[in-house]
Amino acid sequence: MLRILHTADLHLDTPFTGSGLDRERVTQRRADLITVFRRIIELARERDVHALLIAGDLFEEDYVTSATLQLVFGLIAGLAPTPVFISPGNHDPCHDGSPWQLESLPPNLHLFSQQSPTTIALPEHGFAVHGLGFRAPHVTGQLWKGFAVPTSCAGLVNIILTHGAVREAEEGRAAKYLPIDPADLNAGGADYVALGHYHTGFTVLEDRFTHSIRAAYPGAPEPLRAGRSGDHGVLLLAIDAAARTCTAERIVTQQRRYRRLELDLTGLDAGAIDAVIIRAVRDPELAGALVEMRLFGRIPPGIHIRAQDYQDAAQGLFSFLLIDDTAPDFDLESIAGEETARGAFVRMLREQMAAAEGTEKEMLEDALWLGLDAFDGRAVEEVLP
Amino acid sequence: MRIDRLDLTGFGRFSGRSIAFGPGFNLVHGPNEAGKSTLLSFIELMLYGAKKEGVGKRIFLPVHEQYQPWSGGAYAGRMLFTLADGRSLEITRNFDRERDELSLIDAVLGTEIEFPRDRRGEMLFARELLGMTRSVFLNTVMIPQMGLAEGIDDPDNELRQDLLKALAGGARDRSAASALSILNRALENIGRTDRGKRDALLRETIARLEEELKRARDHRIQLQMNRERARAIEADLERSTGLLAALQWQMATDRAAELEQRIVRARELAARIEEEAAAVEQYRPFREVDLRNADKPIGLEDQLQATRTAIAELEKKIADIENELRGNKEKVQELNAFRGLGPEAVTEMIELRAEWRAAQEAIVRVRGEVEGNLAKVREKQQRFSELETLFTALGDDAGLRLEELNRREAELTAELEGLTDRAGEQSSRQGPQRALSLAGGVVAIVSLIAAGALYGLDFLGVIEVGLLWAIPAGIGLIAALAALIFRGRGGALENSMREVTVIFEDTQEERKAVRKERATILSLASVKDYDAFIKQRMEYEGLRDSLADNAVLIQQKRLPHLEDELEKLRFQIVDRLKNVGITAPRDVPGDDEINRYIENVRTVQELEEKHHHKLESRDEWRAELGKRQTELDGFTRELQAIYRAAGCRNYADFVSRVEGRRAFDKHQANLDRQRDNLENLLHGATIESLEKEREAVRELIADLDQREKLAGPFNTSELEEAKQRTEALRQERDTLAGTIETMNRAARDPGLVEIELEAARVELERIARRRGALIIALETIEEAATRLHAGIAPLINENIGAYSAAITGGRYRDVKVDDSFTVRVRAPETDAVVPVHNLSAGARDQLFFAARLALSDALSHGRDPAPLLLDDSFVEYDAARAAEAIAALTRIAAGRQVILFTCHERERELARRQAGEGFREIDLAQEPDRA
Repeated sequence: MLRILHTADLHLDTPFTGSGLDRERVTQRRADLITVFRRIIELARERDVHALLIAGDLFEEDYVTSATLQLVFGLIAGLAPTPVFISPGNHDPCHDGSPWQLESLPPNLHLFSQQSPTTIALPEHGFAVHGLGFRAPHVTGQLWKGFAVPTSCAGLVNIILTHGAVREAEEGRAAKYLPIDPADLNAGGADYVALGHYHTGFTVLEDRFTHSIRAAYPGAPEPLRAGRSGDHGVLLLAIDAAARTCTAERIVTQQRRYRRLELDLTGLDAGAIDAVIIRAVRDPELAGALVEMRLFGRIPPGIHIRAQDYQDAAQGLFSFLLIDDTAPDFDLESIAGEETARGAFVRMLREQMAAAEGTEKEMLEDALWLGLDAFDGRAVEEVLP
Repeated sequence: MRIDRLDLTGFGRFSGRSIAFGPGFNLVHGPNEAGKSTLLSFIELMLYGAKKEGVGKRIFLPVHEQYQPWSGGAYAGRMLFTLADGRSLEITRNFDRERDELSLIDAVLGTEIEFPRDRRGEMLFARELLGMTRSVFLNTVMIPQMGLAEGIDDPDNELRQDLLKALAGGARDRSAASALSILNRALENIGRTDRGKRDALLRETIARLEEELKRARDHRIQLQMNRERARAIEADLERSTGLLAALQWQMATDRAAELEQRIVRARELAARIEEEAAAVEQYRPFREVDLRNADKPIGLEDQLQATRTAIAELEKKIADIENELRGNKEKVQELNAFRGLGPEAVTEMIELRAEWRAAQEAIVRVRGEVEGNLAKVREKQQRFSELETLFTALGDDAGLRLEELNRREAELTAELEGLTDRAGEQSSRQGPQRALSLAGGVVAIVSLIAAGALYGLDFLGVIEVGLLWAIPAGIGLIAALAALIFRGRGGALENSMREVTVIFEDTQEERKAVRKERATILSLASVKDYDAFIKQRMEYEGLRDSLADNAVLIQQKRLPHLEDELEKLRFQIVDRLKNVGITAPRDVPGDDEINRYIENVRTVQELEEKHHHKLESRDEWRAELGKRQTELDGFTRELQAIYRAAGCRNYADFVSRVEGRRAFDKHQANLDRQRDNLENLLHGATIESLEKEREAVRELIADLDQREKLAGPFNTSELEEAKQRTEALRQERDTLAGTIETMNRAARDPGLVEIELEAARVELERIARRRGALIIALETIEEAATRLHAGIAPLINENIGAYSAAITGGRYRDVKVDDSFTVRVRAPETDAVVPVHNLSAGARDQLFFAARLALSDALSHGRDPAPLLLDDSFVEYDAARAAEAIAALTRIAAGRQVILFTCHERERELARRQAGEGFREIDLAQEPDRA
C-alpha cells in the first residue's frame, strides 16, 4: 500500500492584504502558516509516507523571505530520504529569478520546473509522479490535454501533480490558471491526480463503483480568509497498487478558524446596538477565531459604530474585523417631499445616485448621509471609519 | 385652514382641557406659565406629530418628553379644524411612545381620512393640507417675539437668516447655512484638496513604503545574486579545495616516497659504513706499506710473465714451422719428378696445350671448309655442265638474238599502236554516215513496201493511202538519197582503213614470230624472260671463272701440314708428361693429365717457396727467442732486487702487502665517502627524525585520503597557486557571507511593508472618498438652497407688498425680496428703494412680519393658509407700535385665522378695542372648557 500525503496552497509569507489584520496579527498568521507546514512534515514522518506532494502555491512569490525559504527547505531536507514533489503554481511560479532560485534545493525535493508534463519515476518505491509547473503567474493553455502515462511507467502507480483550475474548464470559462478538463485527467491513465488551486478541498473524480478517488483538491491546509467553510487540512492517500484503488483520509491541520457574523441592527438605538455587538463577540464559540462581523440595517442617524469601541469585548478573539454596512435611518421619501433646502438636497442626490454606480454611487450615498447629518446639526465624525 | 377646537386629554399641565377658537382674531391670554407655549406646541404636535421627521425610525422630538402629562394619564389630544373648502376634520393623537397613533376623520361624516404616511407611519396630512413642512410652519406662521432685532447691527441679515432658516428645513434652529458650516468644518479638517497636509503625509508614507517595498524586492534580487555568487564560490572553493587536497596529497605522497627512499638509503649507507669501518680495521696493519715501488714489480712481473709467454709462443712457433718444413719436404719428395721445373714449364705446357687445341681446331675447321667447298664445287660443276650444254646448244649468239628479238618486238608493238590510232579515227568518221544512210534506206523500203501493198486497193483507197503515206515515203527517199551522197564521200576513208589493217595484221604476224622465237630460246634456257636468261648466262660465266680458281686445292694441300703440326705438338706434350711420369692414355694427352702436370709443377714450386719462407721465419723466431730470453733474465734480476729491498720473500708476499695497503686506503676512502654521503643525505637530520617525519606525512596522506580530490599530477607552483586561490575564495566567501548576513538583518519583510502600504492607501482612499462626499454634500446643499431661493423669492414678492401694506397701514406697499433674500423697500418719504435695515426698528419688524406671511403663502403653494400663531410677538413694542400691530392682525384676521398668545393686558385691551366681529378671547386662567 502506497501512502502519499497531498497538500497545496500554503501561501507562505502571504501579507494577508485586504484582511483588515494589523501588522502584529499578520505576523502571527504568517507564523501560523509555518506551523502548519511543520505539522505537515511531522504528519509525513508520523504516517511514514512514501512521498509528500505539494500541488503549488507553497509560498507567495512577491513576499516570501529568504528566511522562510531556508526554513521550509530545511524542513523538507529533514524529511529525507522521503521524496517531496512540488509543482509550482500561479503564486509561486518557477521562472528565472524566482524565489525557487534564492536558496539551494534539498536533494530529496523534486521540483517540476518545466511548463510541460515531466515524469519522475521512482521504481524502487513503485510509483512515478508526472507533473509540470507554472513558469508565469498566468497559464491559459490546457497543458494536460492529450497527456498519457508513458509506457515505461506501465507497471508503476502513476500520479499526476499539478496546480490548475478544473472549474473554469468544466464551465467552459476562460481560465488564467491552467484550465484542466477532468476528462483529460481521466483519459491520461493516472491512478491519482493531486491538484491544487482551490482553497476549499473537493473531490474531482471518483470511481462510481469502487468509490476510489481519482483526482482531488486538498484545499488550503490553513484558511487564508473568511468565508472558507469547513475544516482545512491535507489528504493522506492510501493507494493499492494491485487493486488500483485510492482512498483518502482528511487530516485537519488548520491553526485558526474564521467566523463571519452578520447582524441586523435595524430598529435598535445606540445602547441596544452596543449590547448586541458585545453579546455577539463574547460568544465562547468565537474564542481565538478571526471574526468578521458585518453590521447592516437602518440605525438612528448620528450613531457611528467603531470597532475600537469593542476591543475590550473582543479580547478573546484572534482578530475582530467590523464591516459597517448600516445606514442612517432617514426617511428619504419624506424628506424628499419637503419644499426645503434639505428636501431639494435629498432629491438632487437621489437623482444623481440613480444614474451612478460603483464608487461614485457610494460617494454620493456618503454625501447624502453627511448632508442630512449636517442638516440635523450633527458634526461630521472626524475619525474615519 | 382654521383651528376650531383643541382637546388636550393629557399634555403637559393640561389634562382634559378643551379650547375653542373662532375663525378670525383669537387672543389667548394667561399669565406666565399658564400654558401658552404648551398650547403652541400642542398645535404643532397635533399637526406634525411628536416624532422626528426625515428619519426612518420612531425617534421622538425632545419636546415630546417635555409635555408628558403632569397628572399622568393618557398622553393624547384632539384637534378639530376646518378647511377652506368647508370640510371639518378631526385629528386625534396618542403621544404615548408605546401607543403612538393618530386618526383623522371627517368630523361631519365620521369617516376616516387617509393621507400619505412616511416610514415612521406618520400621516403627512398637515404637509398636504397646508403645503408646508413643520420647519416652514414654525418659521413662518408661528411667529415669536419680534423687536429682538433692535440690538443687532445687521437686522437685514437677521431677517435674511430667518428666512433662510425657514427654507432650510430640519429642526427649528437648523438651516442650510449651518449644515454648510458643519460640512465646511469637516472639510477643513481633512483638507479641502488632496494637496493638504494630511494627504501629503499619507502620500509621502505611500511613496516611502513603495520605495521600501521596491528596495525589499531589489534587496531580495540582490540577495539572490549574492547567494548565487556564494554558491558559485562554494563550488569553486570545493573544486579548489579538492585541487589543493590533491596537490597536498601528491606532495605528501612524493614526500613520503622521498623520505622512504632517504631512510632506506641512509640505512644502506650506515650498513656500508659499518662494513667499511670493519674492513679498515682489518687492513690497518698494512697502513705503513710503502707504495712508491708498489707497481714496479707488478710491471716487471707482468713483463716477465709476458716474456715467458712470448718465449713459449716463439718456441711453439718454431716447433710448428719445423713440423711444417718436414711435411713440405716429404711432399716435395713425393713430387720429385716435378722438381726443377720452373714457372716457365707451366707456361710452356699451357701454351702447348693451347697450340695443340688450336691445331686440332684448325684441322677440323679446314677439313670442314674443304668438304664444304668440295660440295659447292661439285654443285657448280653440275650447273656449269648443264649451262655449258645449254649455251652450247643455243649458240653463243642466242643472247644477242634474244636482244634483237626484244628490240624488234618493241618496234612492232609501237607500229601496231600507231596503226590502231589511225583505224580509230577513220572509224569515228564513218559511223554517222552509215547510220543516216541506213535510216534513209529503212524508211524508203518501208514506204515502198507499204505503197506496193496498197496497189491492190481501189483507186480511192490508193488516193487515201497515197495521201497518207506519200509524206513518210518522200521523207524516206530523201533520207536514202542523202545516204547515198554521203556514202560516196566516205569511200576514200574506207580504203585507207583497209590498208592500215593489212599492215597491222602483218606487223602482228611478225611480232608473233619474234615472240615465238624468243619463247623458244627462253624455254630452252629454262628461264621465263630475257632478264633471267641474262642472269643465267652471267651465272654460267661466273661458274666457269670460279671453277677455274684453285682455293680448294690450296686448302686440301694445307691439311697435311696442319696435321703434322698437330702431331708435333702432341709429341711435345706427351713427351713432357712422360718426363714427369704422366702417361696419357693412347698417347693422347687429356686435360686431366695436363692439369695434373701444371698443378704438380705449381705445388712443388709453392712448397719449395714456402719452405724457404718458413726457414726464414724459423730463423727470425729463433733470433727473437734469444732476445726474449735475455730480457727475461734481466727482469728476473731486477725483481729479485726489489723483493729483497721490500723485505719480501717473493712476488706473492710483495703483492699481498701492497694489496693490504691498497685495501686499507680503499676502505678508508670508502668509509669517508659513505660518511659524507650519509651526511649529505641526512642534511643534519637523523634516520630517526626522518622516520618520525615519514609517519607524520603518512598520517597526513591518510587524512587527505578521506577528502575528495582531483586527479593529478601537479607541481609545486600549482599547489602554491591552489593555496592562494583557495584562500582568496575562502576570504570572498566569508566576506559574502557577512554581506548576506548583514543584508538579511537589514532586510525588510516585503509582506509587512505591503500591509503598511495597504493601510496607508486605504486611509488615503477613505480621505479622498470622505472629501469627495463632503464636497458633493456641500455643493449639493448650496445648489439646493440657491435653487430654492431662486424659486421662492418671486413668490414672496407676489404677496409681501399686500402684507406689508396691510401691516403698515399702507405705508409700505412696495417691498421686494431678491434671490439672496435681501429685502428692499420704497420709502414713501423719498420714494427711494432702500435696504430694509435703513428703516426704523418698528418698520423692520413689520416688514419682517409681512415677509414671513408672504413666505408662508409662497411655500404653501396656494393651499389652505395656515392660521397665524403669535407668541407674544409684540411684547417688545411700545404702545403705538403694539396698537399698529394689533390693527394689522385685525386686518389679517379678516382673511385668515389669527391666534395671538399673550400674557400682557395691553395686547388684550388693544385687541378688545380694535378687533371687531369675530374676535374671540380665551383666558387660560379661567375654568377651562371641558372636552
